[in-house]
Amino acid sequence: MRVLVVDDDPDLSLLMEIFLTRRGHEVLLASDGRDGLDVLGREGVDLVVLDWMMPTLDGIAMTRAIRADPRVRHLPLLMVTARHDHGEAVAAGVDEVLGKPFTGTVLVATVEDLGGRSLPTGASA
Amino acid sequence: MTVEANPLAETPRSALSQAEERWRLTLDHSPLGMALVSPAGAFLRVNPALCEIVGHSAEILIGLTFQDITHPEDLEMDLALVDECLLGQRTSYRLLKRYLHADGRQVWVEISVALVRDEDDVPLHFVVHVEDVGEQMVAQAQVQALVSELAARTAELQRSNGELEHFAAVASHDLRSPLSVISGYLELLAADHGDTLDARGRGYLDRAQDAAGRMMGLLDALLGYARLDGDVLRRSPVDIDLLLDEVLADLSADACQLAAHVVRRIAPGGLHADPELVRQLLQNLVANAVKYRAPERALEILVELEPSGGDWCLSVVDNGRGIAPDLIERAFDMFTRDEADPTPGAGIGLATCRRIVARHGGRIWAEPVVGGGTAVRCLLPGRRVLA
Repeated sequence: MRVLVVDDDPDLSLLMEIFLTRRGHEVLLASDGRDGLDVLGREGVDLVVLDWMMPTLDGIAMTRAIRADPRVRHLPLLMVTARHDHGEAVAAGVDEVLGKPFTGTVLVATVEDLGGRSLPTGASA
Repeated sequence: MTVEANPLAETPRSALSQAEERWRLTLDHSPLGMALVSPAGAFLRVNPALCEIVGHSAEILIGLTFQDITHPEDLEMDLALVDECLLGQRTSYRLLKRYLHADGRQVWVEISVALVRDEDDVPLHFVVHVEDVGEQMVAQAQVQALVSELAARTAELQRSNGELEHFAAVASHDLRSPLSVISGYLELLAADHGDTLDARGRGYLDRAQDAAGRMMGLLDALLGYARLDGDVLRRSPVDIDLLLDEVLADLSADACQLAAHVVRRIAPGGLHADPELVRQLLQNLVANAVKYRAPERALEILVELEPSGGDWCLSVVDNGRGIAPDLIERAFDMFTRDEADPTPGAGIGLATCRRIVARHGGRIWAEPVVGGGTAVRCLLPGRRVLA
């Protein structure tokens, strides 16, 4: 799968990249919501992992922007956050919320489960 | 002695009627200040109590007008009311105002004023009763000051509570992110390089991972505790059975296996409380029972809800290791834990329970159980029927 990881914490981004690439997924990185939307505008991805609290454009705003754009609105969205109010994220349009901290195993399992749901043919891994 | 100005004192004293004499006596002995005042404001007749209030002798007062001794800030209101009486728009009025005492200080008085007219409806004079309300005003000012202070302190308390909650939320969020990084890289280290580490190295790694896990639990508990005060209490009928099912599912991957150790004795209907808070209460109490189980015997937990007078008693009774007798009083204080017990814990769980129960207006306590174990009982007020 081609996964876009959007997080302003480079240590955490790198960590998620390692976990996902070890499982054979390709990872693109973006440092905030605006950067993430730019990447989505020029690259095709299968799934987006995004943080909530980010400068310039946060995860909620980015989610709304994605859901409003016909070209990318179908993408599965996984939010990783330290916040507790997951309901707000779901209401904004994310498919799953993963609380921080999470283990690599859980991250990979959640990403693959979510990607598998939207790609029933299992086209890529 | 009452002093009269000339216009009303023309009649020879020997000819004073008995009624007039009684009137004079009344004036002289009245504890209230009294005066007759001309339509223009001149004191025509004053009694000793009024002289006492304003600090002038009767002789001096008779030469003055009420305008002379009224506090300038209160004069306009008084004059307006006098005019309304003279114009026939009202016959009397009451006013809280200040006189200027002969020694310069201000005196708070409440005056009752009525206008007397003659047969042809021509204004004759005002009858004025004056009550010194200085002490009342001082008391009132003191009460007002106390009320203001209370309001200020309440606001301060709310502000600091808000700050605490905000701090806890920020701390929880901002600490959680680096903690994710720490535990994530520890996980990678264990997965990728665990094999190359010797036993001692793996031991270090295990300890670091354990500590990261404990820190996570501590952050959650602190945030949960800080949040208790902020949320509004949402009372509704509480289904303890249902909450207990949820709690058991949260506490154990194998809820059925855990449930087999739990005996329920739930009296039907009645408990009216905040279900989310009661869930947290149960979660903490059942988690403690599991955590501090006695290794030498099978775990048994009794969850009981029974009516107690008009209230409800919710108990979680276990057959575990029990609380050390010297700790049982302090068990519900923040950060209290048994240092002799190696089981990890932050000492926040029972403090959280006490806060939850207190928010419902109830109380919580622990009792030792014969044969080993602890009974934690929460008395929660029943639903009050308001007439």
